[in-house]
Amino acid sequence: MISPPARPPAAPVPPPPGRASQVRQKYLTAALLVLPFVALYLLFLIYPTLRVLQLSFTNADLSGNGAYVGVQNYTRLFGEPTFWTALLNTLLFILLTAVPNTLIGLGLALLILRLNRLKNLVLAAFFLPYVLPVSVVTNVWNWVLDSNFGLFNFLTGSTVTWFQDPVWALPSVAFVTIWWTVGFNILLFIAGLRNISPEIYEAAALDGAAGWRLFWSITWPNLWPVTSLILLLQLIAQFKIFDQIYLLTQGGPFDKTLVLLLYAYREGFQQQHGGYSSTIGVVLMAVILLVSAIQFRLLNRGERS
Amino acid sequence: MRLSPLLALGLALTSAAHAQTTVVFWDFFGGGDGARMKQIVDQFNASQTAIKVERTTQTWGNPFYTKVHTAVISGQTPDVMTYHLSATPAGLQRKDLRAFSTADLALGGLKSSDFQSNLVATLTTDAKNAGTNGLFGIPLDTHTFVVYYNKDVLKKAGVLGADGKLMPMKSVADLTKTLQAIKTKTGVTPIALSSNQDSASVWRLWYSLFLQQGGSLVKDGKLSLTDLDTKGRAALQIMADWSKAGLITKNVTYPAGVALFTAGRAAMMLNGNWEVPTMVDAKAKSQLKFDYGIMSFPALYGNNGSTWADSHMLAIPSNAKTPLSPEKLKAVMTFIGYVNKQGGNTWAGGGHIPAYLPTQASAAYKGMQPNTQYSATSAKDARLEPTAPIFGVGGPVYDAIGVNFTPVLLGQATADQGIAKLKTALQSFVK
Amino acid sequence: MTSSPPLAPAVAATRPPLTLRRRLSRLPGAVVTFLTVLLAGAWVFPLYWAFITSLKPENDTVALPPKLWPETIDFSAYTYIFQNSPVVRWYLNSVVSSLVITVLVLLLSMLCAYALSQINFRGRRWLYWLILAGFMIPFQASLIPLFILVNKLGLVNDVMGLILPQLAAPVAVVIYKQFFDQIPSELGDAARIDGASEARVLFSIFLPLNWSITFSLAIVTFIAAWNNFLWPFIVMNDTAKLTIPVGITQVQSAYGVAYAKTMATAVTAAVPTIFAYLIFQRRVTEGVMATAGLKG
Repeated sequence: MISPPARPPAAPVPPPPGRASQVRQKYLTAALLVLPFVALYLLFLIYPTLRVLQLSFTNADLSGNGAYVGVQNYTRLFGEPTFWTALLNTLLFILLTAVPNTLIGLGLALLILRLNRLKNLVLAAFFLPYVLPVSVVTNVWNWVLDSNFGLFNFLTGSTVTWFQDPVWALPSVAFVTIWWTVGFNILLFIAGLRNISPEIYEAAALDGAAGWRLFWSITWPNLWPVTSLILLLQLIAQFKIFDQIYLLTQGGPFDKTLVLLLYAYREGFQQQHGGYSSTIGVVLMAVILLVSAIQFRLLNRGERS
Repeated sequence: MRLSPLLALGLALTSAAHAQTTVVFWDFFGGGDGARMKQIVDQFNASQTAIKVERTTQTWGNPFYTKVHTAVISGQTPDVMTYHLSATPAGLQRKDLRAFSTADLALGGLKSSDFQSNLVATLTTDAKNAGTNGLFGIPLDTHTFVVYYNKDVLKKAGVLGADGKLMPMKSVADLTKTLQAIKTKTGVTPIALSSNQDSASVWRLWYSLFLQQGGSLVKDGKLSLTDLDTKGRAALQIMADWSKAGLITKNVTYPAGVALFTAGRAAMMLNGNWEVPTMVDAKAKSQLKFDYGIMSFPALYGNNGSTWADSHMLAIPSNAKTPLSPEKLKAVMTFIGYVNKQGGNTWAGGGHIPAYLPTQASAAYKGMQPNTQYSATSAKDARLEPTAPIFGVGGPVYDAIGVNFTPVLLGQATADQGIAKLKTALQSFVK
Repeated sequence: MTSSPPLAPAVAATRPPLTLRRRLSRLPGAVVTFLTVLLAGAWVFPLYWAFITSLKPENDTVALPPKLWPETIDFSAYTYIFQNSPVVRWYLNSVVSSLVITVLVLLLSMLCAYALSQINFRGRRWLYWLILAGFMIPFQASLIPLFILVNKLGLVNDVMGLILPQLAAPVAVVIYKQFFDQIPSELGDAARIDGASEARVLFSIFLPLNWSITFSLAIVTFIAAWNNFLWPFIVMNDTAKLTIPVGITQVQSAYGVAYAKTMATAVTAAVPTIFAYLIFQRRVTEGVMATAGLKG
């Protein structure tokens, strides 16, 4: 509406860009830049997330056709022993991975940081498994832990069928998971340890703190933001555990390693119960959101104090 | 496989008389079955130039049927595939299968009366139960549960007759006594049965014992649980007792079960007839350090020798988006005809009982070794799985058996508990 | 085992006052170093063992006692898998899809992050929060609707169905936005006054300032796309269309017990990511830390 006075209307054909059109121009540019990503994001992440809620109230199959059935899927789910088995196994798996993986990561980070010339080489050795595809990891460990011809049982004289044993299957998968992913935690811990300023250590050392006391009074509290970040990432990752279990144990022996996502896969893709499987998905999502929220609060408190 | 109509048209127009039709074939065969199917396909491809069969093998069981279903709903199916007769009710419920018309069969030089009648009848019933009609698969074989035995060990235990066969057994008590004799006299595990990550083997043994007592899981076309508390429980108790007494392997996976028997560390193996090639090949390569025999699963309750059985079939997946073209259909049927006719005896070499009657009647099959040791009796005693969508390969019952019975075999639960949990599971499947 | 006493001096050694260092330079330090190196060796040993197994003739793999070094180097397992399985096809599928994913993820995230950071439009805060929320959403929980959607689009068993859902991850957007936010606004404004378009500002000013993080993100995105299992496993049906991490699981069941061949496929599938890591070690580290929310 306010025409720019500075510029004389020399060329009458294109109307001079007004403020309104500048604003329009700005929005157009923003939209063009934002749209490709946001469109994909809404379509392939947000939409399925909302749709899974809707599907959980239907008896849909894998092509998405189904009728509204109310809360029937939910009553069936909570009355189904298999669901509780899967939930329990998932929690057990988290217990067997999240905490050990964090502690081992911290320990190895401390060991690596004190090295000089060998530092990069040793770090690479621990991190290398992290860049491997999961099926490579499971193939390699299936071979090393093979009950008859595996190297491990040969060296130890054990006859345990690691991935098929009702007691050992879950811990074995947990162990493989730690071997595979601990490098990630080491990296984060190294970054965290480097961020602790040397002055703090020097001051504490002057006070006579050393060894264990130095660790507990300085390192551990200063490292807490990183530690809790790692715990959070671990926790969320292990709730979604599927690949290693599917490839190593298929949930067996007799559902001893059945976890939530595998249960959802079985019901949804193998038995075509899309609606019921969506219900498991909703529960999984609710749990993960809840954990994220709790951890987020803890994390903030930890940072503030 | 995914050509735009225009491109397809272009290809059709330019294709000369010698153009090759490609047939995409999915199967689930590994081991000896896989080697034989490969041989049949290779021979078929070499025998003519008009059709080329491209075979891909997917993982047996659930993974296979999951892939087939996702292929069907996305309209990107193979042209022909293998299928289990026991999985047909579920396949029909999911609408994964396309019916064969009489005209289709004629394209391959076949007619439904060429095939063993009980298999065709079961297929017809399956179709009727699913509210449709037609022939949704072409049976290739009957395969069943047999006993492989190590003659050297049995002789040592004093349970081998002069004829080189296991001494006759009329009851479960007889069999148990035989097993105990083997264990005490030789120290070898009497029976290799895989039960770890292999619910199918547990089901096959349990279901055979259940059937021999006259048990039934489907009555009047409906799931019936009444026999489970009596006959079903008794069958499971027998298995639990054997397990407890160390007469049967515990917590052994499928390949390990086979390895135990071929290594001479188990006196017998309860397994499907598809392991026949393993034995034949091992013997031929002189990797087998003992003499073996094969017999039908014994009749342990009077004369009722009923034994679990299933049938491999060839089937065409349904595809509403892009139905088979007439050329493709002709090619598929030609291949199916070849597998049954020229390939019939190769397939029977896998231990199976051919479904195609002319092959069954052929001299080559009748003299086939070691099949003759069991095939006549086994063919008579073979009982197919219950015809309901929850049963069969890829269905939820196999999983339920594994989950609820394996702890009983390991001594972690009682037979009563195992049966009770199975009943709950079965009820929830049909809800 | 992780917090056993020898670790305590290690803490001190990270930023040690001199007296401590002198104390540590004595024997116990050497022992800890030795044990650390030994542990590192044990950690990669399974990979070595897999590699060695793949170079043995099939019969030697189960020979007792196992030989830590193959007596004759035998490539027959590799020849076999290259001739009898579509390993080369799977490789191509993986290379193509991973490269396309990497390029698109970086490009789309960069564009979006640039707008969020540099253009002051209404709703941008709200949009940024929506994207941040994506961090907490597990796509695995909505596999069923995702599959139904991709099937409705006709993209099941199609490379686009494999790629598109993998572009919807918010991580790179958030990282780019944080980096763009740190660039002084004068830089962009000066160029804009000179008449440069937003695209020019982004590609000739902002991008060159962020080459380093772009490169790190590219490698990490590539590795993640290469290694992805669940979605490619679900969405692809034809054996010829599989990516290599999914493909090698199919091969296993067809071989039966054949350790040399199984290990040969594993080694083949692992080679690209191992090399990518060994060559670009520092970049990978940087990228991993950026995606975890820590600046390297």
